Amino acid sequence: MTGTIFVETLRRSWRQMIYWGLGFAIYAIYPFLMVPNEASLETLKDITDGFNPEFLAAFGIDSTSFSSVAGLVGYSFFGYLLLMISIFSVIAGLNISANEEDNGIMDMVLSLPVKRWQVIVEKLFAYIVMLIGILAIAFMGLMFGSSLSQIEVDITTTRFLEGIVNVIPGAVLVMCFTAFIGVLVRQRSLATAIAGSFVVISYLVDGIGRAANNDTADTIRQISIFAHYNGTKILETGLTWGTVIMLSVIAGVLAVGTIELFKRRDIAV
Amino acid sequence: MVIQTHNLTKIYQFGRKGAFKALDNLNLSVKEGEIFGYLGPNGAGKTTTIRMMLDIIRPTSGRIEILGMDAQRDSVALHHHIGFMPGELNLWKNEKAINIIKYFGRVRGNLDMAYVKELAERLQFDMSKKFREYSSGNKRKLGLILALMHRPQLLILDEPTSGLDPLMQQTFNQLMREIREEGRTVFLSSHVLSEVQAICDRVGILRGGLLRAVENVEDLTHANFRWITIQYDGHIPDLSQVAGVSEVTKVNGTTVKFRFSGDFDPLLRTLTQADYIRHFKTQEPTLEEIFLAFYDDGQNVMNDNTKQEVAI
Ligand SMILES: Nc1ncnc2c1ncn2[C@@H]1O[C@H](COP(=O)(O)OP(=O)(O)O)[C@@H](O)[C@H]1O
Ligand SMILES: [Mg+2]
Repeated sequence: MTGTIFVETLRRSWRQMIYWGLGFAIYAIYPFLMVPNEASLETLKDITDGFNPEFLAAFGIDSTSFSSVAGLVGYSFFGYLLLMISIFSVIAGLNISANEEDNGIMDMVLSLPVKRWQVIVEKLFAYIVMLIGILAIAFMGLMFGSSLSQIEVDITTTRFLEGIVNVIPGAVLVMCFTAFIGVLVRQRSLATAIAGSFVVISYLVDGIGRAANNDTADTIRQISIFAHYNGTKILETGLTWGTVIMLSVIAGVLAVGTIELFKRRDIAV
Repeated sequence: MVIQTHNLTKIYQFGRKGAFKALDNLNLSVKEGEIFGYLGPNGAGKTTTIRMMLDIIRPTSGRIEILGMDAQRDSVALHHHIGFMPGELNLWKNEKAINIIKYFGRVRGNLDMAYVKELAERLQFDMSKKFREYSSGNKRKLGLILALMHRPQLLILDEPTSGLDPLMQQTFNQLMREIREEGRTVFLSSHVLSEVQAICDRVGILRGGLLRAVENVEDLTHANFRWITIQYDGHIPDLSQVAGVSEVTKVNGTTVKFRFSGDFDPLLRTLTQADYIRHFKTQEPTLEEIFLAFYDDGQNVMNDNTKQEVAI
């Protein structure tokens, strides 16, 4: 019956969603605790002022990073959020396709009255729901953290929410990319290696591009999802809908590719 | 026909260069209400055929019709009526059997827990453990429950009895007979003739991707050749030239053994030239010998009858 795979996927993994969510919530509270008052923010700023700005740029740090709570949370939480949540995305992407095929479970699944696209789509939706669940818990962590802060928090709840929503397209894109690679190579280990490299290389391309600080580097940087994600600055700029749509469209194309490929080919033994 | 394959062929591709024909123009019919044994040694193409029936892999050419539907196009509708057990059951390691059973029931949309419990009891299967905790025999039982629980019209079982202990084999055979009595159909593969012989009505013999023969099980045992042993005194004429005689061996000075097929007349007329016949014994071949005869690529002495069957 339609929806059963979706429900079953959630039933099996909702606990993991809670654990991941709690991990990110703690991570979200951390910057507020690390810099409890104005004085500690000043200290941080003094330290970073001593470094070469190009060197700091590779880490996404600039003059605004430690001048406000927005800069601080932007740098230390949102700056790394996509990279961290990509770990979940890769695991989810593997669960969508490669794992069950590599384990020989897919034969049994496909002997049931289900369409092949249904297997992919229902699991994809289940993992997107879990991703949103994780981020919702992380958002609660942000809210809780900002309530602990003694510095005036100059960020609206809406902006925090925009920061959280901003990570979804990129995370779904990584998920779909991994699922696609899984369907393409059929092996869990190879798919993990390729998807992992994709994330890490994208991250490095963005970091190096920013550090190099010239036009060519900045153009090359645009091939990285992290360049478009722009987590560090999201609390200042807010959501760029064009970027959200672009990343979502790419994710959608990858999802369709995954389904079409999976529909057509033989299941590996 | 419950299953009808039309020129079913499967060629596996390895990269760009290599290719391997695992199944060659299979035309197989399985009738309603029969237990059909799909017999062949390892690598014959049994699993390949079965995976195509379930639309897990696609034919290179040809097609399969099951219960009047196309195995590929109508797979969802069809799978409501099929119970499948793979040769090696792989499932989610950390899930409990009972959860997997319920999940399958929900996907199929007709979970009958009373019947599941009845099956588990008959198979003496404890459903409360995680999949990884089961022995291979217990995994097989779970596979059977998953295949039987929705009372499908057709069972497709890939080597279902390998690894079952003799007692469970009895239970399995009993279950299959009950299913036949209800007018349902069983298609099972095996590489052990005696297993097939114990429950099947008809047998298809596959080797090297080619269907060599389709036989009623009785016809398989009522051989078209036999072994003859003769004890004699004194002189016996040379029998190797007699029509239907082959593989003549002199066991000792007074005993000769040979393989024989066809009519007895020429043999008996020749034997009248012997000095004295003490004992004449004819012996049906063992099942393994018939099996081998089908497998022998026609090099061995097969009588004409067998050769015709090969040509099916
Ligand atoms: N996915 C595959 N790719 C390449 N060759 C395969 C594949 N699956 C099976 N084969 C080959 O096809 C032949 C038939 O295999 P199979 O159908 O599993 O035989 P059986 O089930 O009768 O033992 C074997 O030689 C096997 O090595
Ligand atoms: Mg096999």
